[in-house]
Amino acid sequence: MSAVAVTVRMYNVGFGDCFLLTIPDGKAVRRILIDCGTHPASTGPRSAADAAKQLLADLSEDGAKPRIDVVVATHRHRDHVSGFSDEKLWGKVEVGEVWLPWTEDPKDPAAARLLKRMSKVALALDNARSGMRAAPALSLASALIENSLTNEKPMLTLHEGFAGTPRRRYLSAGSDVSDAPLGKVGVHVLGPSKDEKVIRKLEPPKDESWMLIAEDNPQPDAEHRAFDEGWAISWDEFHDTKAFEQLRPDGQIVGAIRRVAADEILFAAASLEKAVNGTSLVLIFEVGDLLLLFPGDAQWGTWQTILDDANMRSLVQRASFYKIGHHGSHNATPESFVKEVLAANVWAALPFAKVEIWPNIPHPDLLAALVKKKARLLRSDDPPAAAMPGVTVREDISIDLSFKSTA
Amino acid sequence: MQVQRGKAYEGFERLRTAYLRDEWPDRRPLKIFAFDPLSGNTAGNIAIVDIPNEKLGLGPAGERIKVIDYDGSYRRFYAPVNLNEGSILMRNGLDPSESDPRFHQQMVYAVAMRVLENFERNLGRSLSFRGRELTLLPHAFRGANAFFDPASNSVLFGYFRADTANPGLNLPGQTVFSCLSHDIVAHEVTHAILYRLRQYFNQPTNRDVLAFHEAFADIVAIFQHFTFPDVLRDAIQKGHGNLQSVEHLLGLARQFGHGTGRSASLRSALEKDGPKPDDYQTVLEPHARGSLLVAAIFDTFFKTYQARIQDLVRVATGGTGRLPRGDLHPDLVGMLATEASKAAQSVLGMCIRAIEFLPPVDVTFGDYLRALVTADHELYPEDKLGQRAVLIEAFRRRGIYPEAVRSLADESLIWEGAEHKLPPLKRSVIGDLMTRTVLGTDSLGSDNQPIARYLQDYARKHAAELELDPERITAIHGFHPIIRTGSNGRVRVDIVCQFVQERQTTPQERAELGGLRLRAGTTVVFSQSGQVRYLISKPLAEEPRVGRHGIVVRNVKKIQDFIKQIDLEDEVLAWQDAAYLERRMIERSNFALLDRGLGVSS
Repeated sequence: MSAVAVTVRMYNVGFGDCFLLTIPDGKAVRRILIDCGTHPASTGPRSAADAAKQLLADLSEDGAKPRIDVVVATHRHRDHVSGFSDEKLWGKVEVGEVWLPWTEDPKDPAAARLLKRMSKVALALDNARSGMRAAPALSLASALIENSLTNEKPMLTLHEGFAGTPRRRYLSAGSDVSDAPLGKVGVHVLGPSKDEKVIRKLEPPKDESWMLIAEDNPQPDAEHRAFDEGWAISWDEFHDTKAFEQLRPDGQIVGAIRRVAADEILFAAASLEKAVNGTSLVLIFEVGDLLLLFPGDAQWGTWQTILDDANMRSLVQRASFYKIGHHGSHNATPESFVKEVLAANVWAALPFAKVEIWPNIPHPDLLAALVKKKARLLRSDDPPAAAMPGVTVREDISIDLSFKSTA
Repeated sequence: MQVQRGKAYEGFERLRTAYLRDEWPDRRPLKIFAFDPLSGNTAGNIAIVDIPNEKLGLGPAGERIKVIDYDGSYRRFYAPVNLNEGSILMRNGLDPSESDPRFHQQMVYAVAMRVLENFERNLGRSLSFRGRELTLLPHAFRGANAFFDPASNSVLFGYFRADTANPGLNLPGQTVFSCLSHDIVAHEVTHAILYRLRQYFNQPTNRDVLAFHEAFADIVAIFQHFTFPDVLRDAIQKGHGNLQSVEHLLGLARQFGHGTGRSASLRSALEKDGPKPDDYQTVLEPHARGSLLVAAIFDTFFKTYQARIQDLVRVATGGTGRLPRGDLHPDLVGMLATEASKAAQSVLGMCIRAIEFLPPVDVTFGDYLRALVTADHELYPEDKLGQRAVLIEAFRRRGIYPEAVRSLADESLIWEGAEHKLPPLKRSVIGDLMTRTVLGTDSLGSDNQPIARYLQDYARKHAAELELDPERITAIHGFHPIIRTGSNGRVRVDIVCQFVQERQTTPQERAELGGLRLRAGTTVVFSQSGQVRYLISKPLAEEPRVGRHGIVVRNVKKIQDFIKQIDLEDEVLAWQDAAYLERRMIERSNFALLDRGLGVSS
C-alpha cells in the first residue's frame, strides 16, 4: 500500500490564489502555503478573507497549534496577498519562513527603485482615471489599477507578521533554499530572474507615453491647460456662434478623442499589471519523484527564458501538477506550452471565478489545449461533480488533490 | 454737376476688373517651424513655406483640409485663425509662437498642405479624401501622442508636459505640443493620404502591413526636411558635405523624443548599430520594423547623393576628391544643397510613385521593393545613376527579400504581367477615363457606373488570370491614369485599376479574425492601349497549397496563425471586454500611437 506523499489543497477564493501543500515526512508534516488573495473585481461566494479563517480552522484541527513551515507570496498583487490583511488572525499562526520575490527585499536598492516606480504609476493612474468621463475601457482599467495599488496591510503581515519570528527570504531564479526547514521536500526556484535584461522588462519603460500620465497626474485634480484662458471658448459659446458653424466637430471626432484617453489608461494599467506579474516567484516543489509547478502569475514573456535552460525545461516537462498561471489568461500559458512542454495527464489547477468584464479569462484555446493533452483539470469555481481518484471536494470551500508516493 | 466719365476711364475700369478677378496669387506664404520649437536656434527652423492658395475660411478651413481646434480633455475650443486678415497676410502668416494657438492652427494647415502637394506632384493627379475633408485637431487631448483616426478622417494631436525628471532639452514640465512638430504633422497626414490611396493597408494581415504604414509616414516626414533650403545648406556646412552626420536632419520629432525622456529624436533614419541580415526576421514591433524600411530607403538616398556630388567635389578640389578642412565655400555648399535636394526629390518621388504598383491588400516590404524597382524602371529604364542597384542592396543588407523572385536582379524584381493572356481594355473606357482626368474627377463616383460595371464584368470573365474567385463579387477600388514623360520626351499614360474581393466569414471565423476581413485583391497596370503591363496579385486560398513559382499561395490559415501570434503579444487582451475581442485586429491597427506598438516591447 502506498501512502499519501503530498496533498494539494486549493481554497476557493474566487478570482485569486490560495494553495496549501501538506507533505507527511516521517513523523512530521510539512506545510507550505502559496498565496492567499482575491481580486477586487472577483465574484463568487467566497474570498481570501474566508479562506484565511478556514485555513486557521483547518490548521487548528484537534487542538493542534497552527503552524506553516513556509509561507510563499508569489507577488504583491491583491489577488495573491489580500488574505494576509488580518494581522491578528495571522499572528496566531506560527510560520517557519516567508518567501517573497527579490523585488520585495527592503535592502535591495534595485528592488526599492522598481517598487517605487510601480506604485507611483499605479497611484498616478488612479488619479488620472478619477478625473475622466466614463468609458468602457476606463472601467476595465479601474479593475486593474485597484489590483496594483499598494496594499500595505497584507504586505506588512508578510514582512513583519506571523508568530514564531519567521525568517524572510527574498528569492530569485537559482536561489538555494536547501537549508529551509522542509525535510525531504526539494525546492527549485525558477524565477523571477535578476538578470539585467529581464529587470528592464519589468521596469515600466520611462520613455513610454503612459509613463507621462504619471508625470501629468501627481494629484487627482492636476490640471494642465494648454493656453491662457483668453484663447478659450466654451462648448456652448462656440456652438452658439454662427461664424464657427463650419468648425463644429462631429460625433465621430468627439468619440475618437474620448476613446483615446481611456485607451491610454487601460494600456498603461495593463502594462503595469504585466510588470508586477513579471516579479512572480516561479517554484517547483519536489517530493520523491513528484514535481509540482507553481508559476504565480508569471507571464509568458518573462518565463519563457526559463524554458531555454535545459535543466529547468526538463523539470517543467516532468511536472505532475501545474497551477495554471494568471487564472488562465492567454499570455501566461500559451497553447504551445501546453502542446509542447507540459506532460500528458498532468493535473492542472485553475483557481478562478468568472468575472463578466473579462470574457477572455480563462482563454478558451488554453482550455481546449489542456483537454487535448488529456490534462486533468480542477477548477475552483466548478469542482468535479463525479468522483475522481485522489480528489476530495469540500462543498465550495476547497478541493484536495492527493498524490500517492510510488516508492 | 455730374462728373463726365470718358472712354479712357471706362477702359481703366475694365482693366481693373480683369485684375480683380485673379487678384489672389497662386501661392500663399506661411510661417512654420521646419522642426519644432525646441530647435529654435537651428538654422532654417523658422521657415516660410509656399503652399497652393485656396479659398480659406476661419479655422483655417480649405477645400480638403480643415482645422478644428477642439480640446476634448477640457471640452472647449480655442479661437480659430483667419489667415486672410490683412495683418496676418502682410507678414507671411503669424510669427511662430508656442503660446498662440492660432499659430498652431496655421502650422498644421501649412504642413498638411505641403505634404498633400508633394503627393499630388509625384502622382501626377489631384487627390481628394473621397468627398470629405481631412480634419486636423491641433490640441485634441492631453497626452503624449498623435494619431490619424480613419473613421472620422481626422488627425488628433495631443499635448503633454515634458518629463520632469528627464526633460532632455526641454524645460522640466514644459508643455510639448505634438502639433508644433513638423515631423509629427507630416507623419500623421501621410497616414491619412496613404489610407486614401490604399484603404486596406490598415488591416494587419501580416507582420509588415502596419510597419509599412509607419515606415512610409516616416519616410515622407523626414524627406520633407530636404525641401527647406536653409536647413539643407546649414546641414551640409555642418556635416562637411556628409549628410549622415547631421542628427536633426535625419531624426524624427526631436522635441517629442526629448520630452518623453529619450534624450534623442523619437526615431531616426539611421540605425544605431548598422543593418543586420536577420533584422527582418527578428524585429517585429511595427515602428521598429518600419525603421528597417526607413533605413533602407535613406541608405539609398545617401549613396545616390554621394554619386551625384562626386563630380562637383572633384572640380572643387582640383581632382583630388578630398575636401579641405575648415568651412566649405558657400558656392559649393549651394551646389551640394541643390544636389541633395534633387536626390531627395528623386528618392521620395520613387517612394510615392511606387504606391501605384502595390497590391490592394496585404502589403509586404518585399512587395514594396518590387514596386519601387518597377516605378523607377518606368521612369529610368537604364538606371544610369545606379539608384536601383543601391536600393536593392540596401534591402538585401537588412534581410528583406520578396517572395517568389528568382534573383535580386532588376528584371526579376519588376512585377510581371505581360505574359498573362488578358485581353485589352475597351478603348472607349480609356477615353472616358482620360476625359474625366482632364476635367478633374478622379474617383469612381455614381456617374461612373458604366465603367465600374464594365470593369467588374472584366474581372468576372478573367478571374482565373487575375487570381480572383469567379464566384465572388469584385469591387473596383481606384481606376486612374498615371501620366509621365517617357525617355523619348513623349507623354505616356498608364492606367491603374484595383480589383478587390471579400470572402464571407462565419461567426466563428469572425471571432477568430478579430474583425479583420478576408480579402483578395489584384492591382493591374494597363498601358494606354489597354494591354496588361503589370499584374500584382494577392490571392486568397482556403488551405495552404503550392501555386505559381512553387510558393505557397496566401491562405486563410496563415492569417489565422498570424493573429494568434499577435494575440500572444497583446498584453491588454486578457483584460478586454467582448466588444474589443470582436474588433481586436481593427483596434490594434488604429494609427493611435506614434509611440506605442503591439503588445510586448522587444
